[in-house]
Amino acid sequence: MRLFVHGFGVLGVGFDQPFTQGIGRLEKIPIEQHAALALRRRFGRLSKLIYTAASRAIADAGVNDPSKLAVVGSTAMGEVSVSLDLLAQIHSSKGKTLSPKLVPNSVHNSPAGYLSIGYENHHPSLTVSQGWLSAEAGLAAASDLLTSTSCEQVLVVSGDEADPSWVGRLVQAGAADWAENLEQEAFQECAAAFVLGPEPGGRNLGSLSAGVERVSPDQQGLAEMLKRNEVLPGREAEIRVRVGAGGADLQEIAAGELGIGRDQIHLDGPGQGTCQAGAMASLASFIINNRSGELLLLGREIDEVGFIHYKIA
Amino acid sequence: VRKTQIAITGIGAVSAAGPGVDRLYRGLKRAKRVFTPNRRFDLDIDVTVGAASGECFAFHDCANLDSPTGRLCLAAASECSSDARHRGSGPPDGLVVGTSTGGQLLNEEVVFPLLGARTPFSFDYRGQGCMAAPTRLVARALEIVGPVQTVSTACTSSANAIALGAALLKNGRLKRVIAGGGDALCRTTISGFHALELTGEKMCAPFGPERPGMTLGEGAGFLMLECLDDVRAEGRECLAELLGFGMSSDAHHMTAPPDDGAGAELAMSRALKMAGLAHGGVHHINAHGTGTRLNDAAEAAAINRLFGADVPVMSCKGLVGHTLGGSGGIEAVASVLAIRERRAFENIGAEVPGEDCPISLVPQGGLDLPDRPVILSNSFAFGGNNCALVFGAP
Repeated sequence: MRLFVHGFGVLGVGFDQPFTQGIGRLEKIPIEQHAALALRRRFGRLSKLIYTAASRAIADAGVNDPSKLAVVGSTAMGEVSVSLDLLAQIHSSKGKTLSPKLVPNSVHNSPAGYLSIGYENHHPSLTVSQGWLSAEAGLAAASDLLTSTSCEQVLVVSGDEADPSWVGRLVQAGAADWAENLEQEAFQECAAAFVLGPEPGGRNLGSLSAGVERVSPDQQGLAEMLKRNEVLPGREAEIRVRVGAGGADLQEIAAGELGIGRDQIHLDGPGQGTCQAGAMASLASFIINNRSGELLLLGREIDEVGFIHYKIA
Repeated sequence: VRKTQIAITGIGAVSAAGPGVDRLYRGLKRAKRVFTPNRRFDLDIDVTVGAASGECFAFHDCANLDSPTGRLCLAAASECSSDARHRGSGPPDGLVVGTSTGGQLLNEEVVFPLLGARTPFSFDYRGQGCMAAPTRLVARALEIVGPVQTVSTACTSSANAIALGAALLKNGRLKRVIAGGGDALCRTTISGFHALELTGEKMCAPFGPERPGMTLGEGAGFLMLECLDDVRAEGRECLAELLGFGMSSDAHHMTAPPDDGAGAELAMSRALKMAGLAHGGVHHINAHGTGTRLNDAAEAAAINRLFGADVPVMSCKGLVGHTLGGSGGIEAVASVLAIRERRAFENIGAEVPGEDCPISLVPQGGLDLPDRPVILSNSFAFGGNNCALVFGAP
């Protein structure tokens, strides 16, 4: 099902401040413009990012009553800094002395929970997490929610914080291909939000379709998968593949299956968003920088392929 | 909203009651608890837990580093898939897994040595440590080719996963989805709930007058969901129907419900509406019933307002503990078993409700249900996240 984009908001490295190599962390998150002190003082860093992006999207869409939006959150790592702090406290006190304030923020749905409190929203709320394909998974879940419930609009929020200490620790642990590919991974902190509906809204930016599917080990059937999801990119479509686990392979397969030249498929490299938040950043950049056209964004992780197909209205 | 009817053609579960649905059924029938003091983790916390036995984790296709949560999920999902195959179902073409902790136990194992300036083992974060690690393990082992999704909404994760699985069928692209979820115990969970003063040394007593707190558990539960029209057209048997689901947000507090359980009531009302049922149409409620003072009182208040005080209520947590992201899946399996047996299982841990819980509990020995029972199953979570599922006889 194609969804129509009524508004969007983005916050991140590359938008609110220039790209940096390596791990890009925002110097300032303007959360005080959007959430009351009593609420925001409870936020972890990811909640600040997501709440700000969500507020920008709601304002962009001209939504008068945000309490009527269903919410879908997506994040690969959740509140990583909080998780690390908790692990350090568990380690030092053998579990006995933990900050009760940190515990609620350790669940992946804490940003969505704060959104419901801040906007006094009693509508359905889902949070999904599919590794580096979480952004695609969040948009797909929004589509399923709109199809199967009486919700009329969905706020999709997606983001990940960049915590250098956490990434460093995993690298120290030799976490498989991460250590080798860290330069390419280029963690750029980012959150993006979309207000989506099943029909064009008063403000109609475009339409999108997204999904995450596990593919056969040889990855054949990509074109079939896109067709099944009613994604038929035109000849002029911009096609981007995220570098990372198997990005180059995916570029070759996509070229073969879509019947186009490999050079027509752009590889998103360092600083262009290769983690899950980067998918939203690529999409946001496309929306900001183009007045017409369409984008097919492909990503791969292990044996899953994610796609976002966006057409500017 | 599409009106696709959803059939349940297979079930699978692992928990403190043992590996497999039959062990869960026998546990519910005999009402014998198997809670033990935590011995798995070296923590300075005295806590009783519902730990799953080694058999529940020892799945033949797993590698040494596959996450314990993934192993529990795989054991339950494999049983579910086999069960459905016995009823003539083909392989699933979609998978939705709910989990609150994903690969967190492995992350603990990696980060702890680093904090102690020791070298940890090497692992694959994206395959074994991230939230989607259990989903990826199950998808690989069951050779699922198609949409995959990981829901992480704390203790509603697998209930929401089942709802999302039904949504995938309702949008018409898939024929068969395996949905549910699980969680293994980990240090973060035990320490976190202890910090919030929600756990105790004594065993839980859901809705009882004395409620010492929740007993944490671990396990997984899965359902095979198909379009009822397809199942009927092929002359196949189904175990039960998923008649509806309802989701809501409390918009109140991150870890405590409002006293009146308004968010819970909204989720239940939405589930009933999707099922096309009046309030009188529900014969039994498999409650969230964690055994904490605030949660049980709020849920009981919501149940009382919607259904009155007479609908018999039980909580599976008296038997298997609170399995967090797995609870909705295990309780869905228990609801299907109650429909199969036409019998409500007793509320283990408390025979009479506390004064602050104006509901009726299923008494010792259980209760007969009508020939075509309708059962409501509740799940509530941190973040004020609520999900209710309605099951009916086929």
